[in-house]
Amino acid sequence: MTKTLGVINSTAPYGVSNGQESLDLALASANFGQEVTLFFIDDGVFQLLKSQQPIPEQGKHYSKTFSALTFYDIDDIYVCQQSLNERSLEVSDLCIEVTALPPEQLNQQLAQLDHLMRF
Amino acid sequence: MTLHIVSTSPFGTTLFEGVFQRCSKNDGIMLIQDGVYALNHVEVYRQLKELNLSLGIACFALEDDVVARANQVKSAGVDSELIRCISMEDFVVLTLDFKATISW
Amino acid sequence: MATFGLLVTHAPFEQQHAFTAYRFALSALALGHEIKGVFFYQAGVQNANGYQAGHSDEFNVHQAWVELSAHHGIPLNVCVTAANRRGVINAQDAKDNDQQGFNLTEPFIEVGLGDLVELSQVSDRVIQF
Repeated sequence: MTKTLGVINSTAPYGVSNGQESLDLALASANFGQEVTLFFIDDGVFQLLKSQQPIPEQGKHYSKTFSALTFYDIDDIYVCQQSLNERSLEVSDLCIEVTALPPEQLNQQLAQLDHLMRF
Repeated sequence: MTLHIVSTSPFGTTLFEGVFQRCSKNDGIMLIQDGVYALNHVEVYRQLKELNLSLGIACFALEDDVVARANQVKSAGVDSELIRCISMEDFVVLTLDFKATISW
Repeated sequence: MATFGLLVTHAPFEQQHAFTAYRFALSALALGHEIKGVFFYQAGVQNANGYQAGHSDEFNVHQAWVELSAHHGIPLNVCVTAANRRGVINAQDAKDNDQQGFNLTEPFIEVGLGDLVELSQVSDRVIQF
């Protein structure tokens, strides 16, 4: 597979279903051998918080799936440092290992990819 | 080089701040649907001007959406050199001038 | 000439995105480009709902997609999981779930997300609406 995909998560979990359907897409892409890079920016960084306790009736605890990303060979996970700062968060608040980058450097990573989808 | 396609009004959201944060040198901004209301937003319009000067960000607006909203670029006091009103076909061509697009 | 894939993630009527996507497709075709496919995901799956019965003088995006597909042979792929979650089901789904009716028929086709991966592989640009 020659074209690379960047999946951008910019919305918070639970209130909208973007996060869950974005993660489904990322996993499917990896399953089909497409190189996929994940980005968490703006409210999207809230998806990665540790210790989320979703209301059981709302469905499966999708954020637990983040820890499986590495088994799908999705290791390029970038978080916007400024988005964290603006929300009084630190990398240590997040449930998986990520690379936090200042906007300019994160944008450089974005610019390398062939297709970008945002959720 | 990325074309940022913005379809949301800048009023009442911080979406445009997010878009501006993602802009690199020579990226483009394409205003469609309610995104064209950026032409009425004094602060966002000022930032578009600034990004144009500092990073060479070109800004376009989908003419049909501008006209539909009675948001004539002229009457809004917008510099038509800075924000170019383009047709849907121009928009198609524009997407090919950039490596990828992000829809906001 | 270039190849395009369109990703539609918003419901029709409620929001303008699907209408914009349709018009983008027409313009791309008019310029001689190829639309490799339209993929409907998230609320965009509502575009495939054939039970839309608006007034006769209103633009029907569902019908517009059907005609676009017929005239230009463009695949209309719908994510099956996203569709079923939102009540967009085909005949087989109706049978499997004991539902009396179904609202997804050809040329809309239920597919998995792998088809979006394939579409992105054969498209010079994927534009999300």
